[in-house]
Amino acid sequence: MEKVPVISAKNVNKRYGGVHALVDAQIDCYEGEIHALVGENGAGKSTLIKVLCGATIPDSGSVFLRGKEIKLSSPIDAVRHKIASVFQELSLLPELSVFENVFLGSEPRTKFGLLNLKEMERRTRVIMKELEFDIPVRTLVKDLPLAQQQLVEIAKALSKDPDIIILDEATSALGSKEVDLLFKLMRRLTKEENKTVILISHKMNELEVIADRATIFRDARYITSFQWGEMTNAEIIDRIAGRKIDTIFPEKRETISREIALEIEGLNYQNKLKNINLKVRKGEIFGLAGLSGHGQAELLDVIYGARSIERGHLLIKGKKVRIKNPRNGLKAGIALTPADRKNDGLLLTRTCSENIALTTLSRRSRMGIIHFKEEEKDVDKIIQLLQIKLSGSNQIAGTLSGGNQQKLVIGKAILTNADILLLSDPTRGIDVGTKYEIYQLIRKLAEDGKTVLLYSTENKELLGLCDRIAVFKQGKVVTVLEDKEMTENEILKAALGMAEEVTA
Amino acid sequence: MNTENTGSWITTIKNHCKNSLILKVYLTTIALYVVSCLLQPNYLSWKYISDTFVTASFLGIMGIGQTLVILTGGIDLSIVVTFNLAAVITTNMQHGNQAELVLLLIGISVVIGVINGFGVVFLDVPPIVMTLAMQSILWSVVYLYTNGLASGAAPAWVRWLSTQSVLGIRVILLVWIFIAVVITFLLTRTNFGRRLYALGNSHSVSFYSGVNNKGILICIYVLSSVFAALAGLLYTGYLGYAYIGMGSTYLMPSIAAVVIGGTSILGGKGNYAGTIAGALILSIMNGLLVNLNMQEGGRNIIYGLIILTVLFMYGRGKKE
Amino acid sequence: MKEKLQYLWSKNREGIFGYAIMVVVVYLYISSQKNFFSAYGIKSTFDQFLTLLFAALAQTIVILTGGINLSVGALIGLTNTLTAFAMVPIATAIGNDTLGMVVTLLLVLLVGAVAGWVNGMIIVKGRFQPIIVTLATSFIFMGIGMYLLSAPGGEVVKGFSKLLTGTLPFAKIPKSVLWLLFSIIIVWIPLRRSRLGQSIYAVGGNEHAAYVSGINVEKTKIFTYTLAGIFCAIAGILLTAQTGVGDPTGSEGFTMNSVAAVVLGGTALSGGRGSFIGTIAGVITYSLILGLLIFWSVPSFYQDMIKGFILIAALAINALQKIQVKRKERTMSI
Repeated sequence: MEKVPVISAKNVNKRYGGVHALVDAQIDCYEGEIHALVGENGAGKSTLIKVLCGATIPDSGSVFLRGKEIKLSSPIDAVRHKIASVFQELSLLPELSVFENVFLGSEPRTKFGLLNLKEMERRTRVIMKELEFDIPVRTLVKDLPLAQQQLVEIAKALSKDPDIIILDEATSALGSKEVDLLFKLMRRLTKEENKTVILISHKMNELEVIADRATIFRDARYITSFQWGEMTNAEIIDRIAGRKIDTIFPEKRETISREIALEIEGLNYQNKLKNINLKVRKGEIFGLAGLSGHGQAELLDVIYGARSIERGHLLIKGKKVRIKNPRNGLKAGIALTPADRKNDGLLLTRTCSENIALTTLSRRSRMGIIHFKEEEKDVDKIIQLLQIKLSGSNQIAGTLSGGNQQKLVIGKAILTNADILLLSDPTRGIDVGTKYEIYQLIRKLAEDGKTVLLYSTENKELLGLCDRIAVFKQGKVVTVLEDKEMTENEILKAALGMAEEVTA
Repeated sequence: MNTENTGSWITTIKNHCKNSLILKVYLTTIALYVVSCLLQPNYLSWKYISDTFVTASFLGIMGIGQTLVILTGGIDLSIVVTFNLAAVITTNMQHGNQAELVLLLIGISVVIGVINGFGVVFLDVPPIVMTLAMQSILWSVVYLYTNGLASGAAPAWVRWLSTQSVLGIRVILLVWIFIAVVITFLLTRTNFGRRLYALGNSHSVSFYSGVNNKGILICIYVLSSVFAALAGLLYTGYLGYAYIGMGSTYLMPSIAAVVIGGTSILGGKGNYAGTIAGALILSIMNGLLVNLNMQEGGRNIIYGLIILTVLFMYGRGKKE
Repeated sequence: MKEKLQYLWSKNREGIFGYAIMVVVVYLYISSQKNFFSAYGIKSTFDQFLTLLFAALAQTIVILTGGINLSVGALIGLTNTLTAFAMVPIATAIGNDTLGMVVTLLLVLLVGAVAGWVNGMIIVKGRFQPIIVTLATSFIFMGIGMYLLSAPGGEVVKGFSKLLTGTLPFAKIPKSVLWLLFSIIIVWIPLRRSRLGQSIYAVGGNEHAAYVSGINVEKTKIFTYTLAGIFCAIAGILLTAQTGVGDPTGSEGFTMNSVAAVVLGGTALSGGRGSFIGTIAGVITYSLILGLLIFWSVPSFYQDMIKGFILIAALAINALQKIQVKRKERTMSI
């Protein structure tokens, strides 16, 4: 570990609206190493990676390749510099075959100028053999299971013979067999061929096995880098999480009644949720924790009716209910704030007023006609309650800041007077000030007797707000933490499958 | 903090004016009228204005359905054949029970709309294909019904509707104005309208907000067919008779009127007031060019140029 | 070998209903025409679909990129009219019939290319929706055609029709069969296997993936519309050869028929999926229906109705297939 890092970044800053994604970020990676980038959701890892591979242009800062500064203005620039990247969202063409995808954009040609399909096929077979991926190259990508699709994406990146390979949670869809394969490959690339691999992953157990060095990011900032093995897992988790929970959470008070507001019995949904059994009380703030994509958002969708329950029951106040679509959900007294506010939560080209009022139209109308005065009253009430910063309720929703947009989404749900509020990642991409306001609001809702189910990718949030926390892993509830058990370590242990580490 | 959301009529108009697109369209209409008056001084008459509105009304009423459908991101290619079917049924039943006639027209157009909606919503057929297929099927129905030749003439009351005046104003214009007010009311002041715009903007957001996407879509296609049938009925009264193929020249103009009026072909943005202006612009344009003795070819070219100009005026698309 | 068949199957399976219908229709047609296998029989069969074939080829590539082209019919009308309008004057000016023919055809192809290019430029640079741009240009193309000929008319050089249509003198094979082979072997297959062809599928399938793979999305789209214009020009030329005259407004039906043929052949309107081979099935089906109806003494106006039903049925079955696939996906584990 001497000399010049093969790739590094310095003083990188990036803002998205009011949110700082990266503040003075830096990283150094050396030849021949597998470098892990760790941190919580939103810590800045993905943004830094996007800068390194040309997918995002930073507001300021520089990227260096073997000491020389380079400008990356598009993903193709990066490829030219022999930097390859594989993201969680696949950029494959499902209707084309594996070998066509691998060579997309750089197809070898015959002497007549046509695509040399035979050569493409042959070379892809060679690549697959070298990588030891057992994937039939003629199959259409859409006919492959997701895990294999991810491998194809990796093969595509490697086919360009890169020096630096960046993997952003590229193992999320892989099974253990494929992960082993990938690790073997990564070792060969770095130890035998002196390439560099930068890896974002939340899976501690995997990183233990494969990473040489690691860098920790927290709150958009670089924290530290270390050789894997220098720190214990506990110390690492400490650095990822931060020393203590900020005292920006409103004080918890006893709000929970005895009455069970929502009961989930044996709920199954496709292969995303398996046999969920939960009882949530009135006035309780119930958290859903775990790595993202392990069923939390799907559970909220199912309860609300946005997805159809396949097996199991829902009981509200002790009575079985059948909720087949969001209309049913709203009628049953449930409201949901979708995680993706831009695509699922708000009509960005319509006014704030219209957005807030959308779910409660029938309540204020007689014979289908809108009563504007009443609507205005309701909308004003919400704007005041949530302190939404507007220049008038006629402002177009898309022009608001992220934090205020989220307030609109929450306001829309609150207006329904639902007894059960499902909040799906409500503080994603929001500034700290607005977050605090939302935390206070959530607390107040509980005090008013509402039942809140809160899914968040920030463990600190869950710990600060919730009365109990269910930790999800692979669609199952691994454990439900309460009182003294509710610590960051406990959540991470359950979520990352480090339960073996239980000492006492 | 709240400035203008009081919901009164003045506010609606004020809001429309703030929506500078509508203003642009109506200014264009007026500008066009002024220009045409310069070229044809005899246009500066109440009769001309009235006649132009009448000519535009058929396109305008057909445009109601097309506007609604396009607002949801779809398109309805079957309105002309529904128009024609209504026309031939009307003349065929000239001497029959007129109440039955009306019921029949409503019934048939509703059935057509339901089938269109059903195909789009439940069979996942893209609107352009579904309505195209329906159109093919229905042309055959027109032939079958008339045995190849439309018979009869327009019933007296229909003729009265389309050609007579009351208190100096053409009845058909009163009908159009009435419908326009109702539709605009529907779009801007009812739950249905709100949900329609939500649906057109984002199926996902409207779904999560508890909007009945499927129901609204089927409703829209039904309304489209019903108004197309109405337009057919009225046009028959205007001409006095019906023929096979009548109305087929209204298809592309109906889409053009909607787009010229500022409604986005992707859905979610626009209104019927714009379509009215679009219909007027096309009518004035057409009449003017005919009077200037411009050949049909030139008229078509200008038609196309108008649409392109309007697209550029309304702003280019967003960069991805 | 089995793998190769599987590969072909997976690429073309959406068009399966279209193929099935085609087979049924073709079978019925052949069995109904007593003199099908005579020279006249085959010729009249294939002649019908010639223009639609190239119209559908134009529509196929545009739809593959995720767009649509409503100006197909108008451009065919324009090129048809232009051919009939200009051929004799040009031949006379040059003083040589054959040379005149060639020059005219080159001119017409150029016009088609330019028209297509204009479509592409407006759509790409303006970032407008293809449906509305091509709607607008359809009026413009039709208008230009009407300026050339205000009513069907014009004429062609002697021997022109016989050159492009009819049968080969020695082998009794209809020339339209040759055109069919031409469109497949010389046009489609090389296009499909070119970088441009692959880009068309990529842009239509996942524009983002295409972009990050280094494909020039804008250029691809502009090329596609330009190429479509050329195919429309070929269709127009063939129409002129068949009818001997130019008709500026008679080609409107080709637009919707081309869309129908493409959809029937399994090409998705959303782009990225499908193939011209499937489209051919749609074209053949639609072209033969009229003949079948005539033979069965069914009034010809049922033709449109049957086309409509076939279209809906094909898509409905497609939708049902998709539901089946979704059900299967659910049981696959993470």
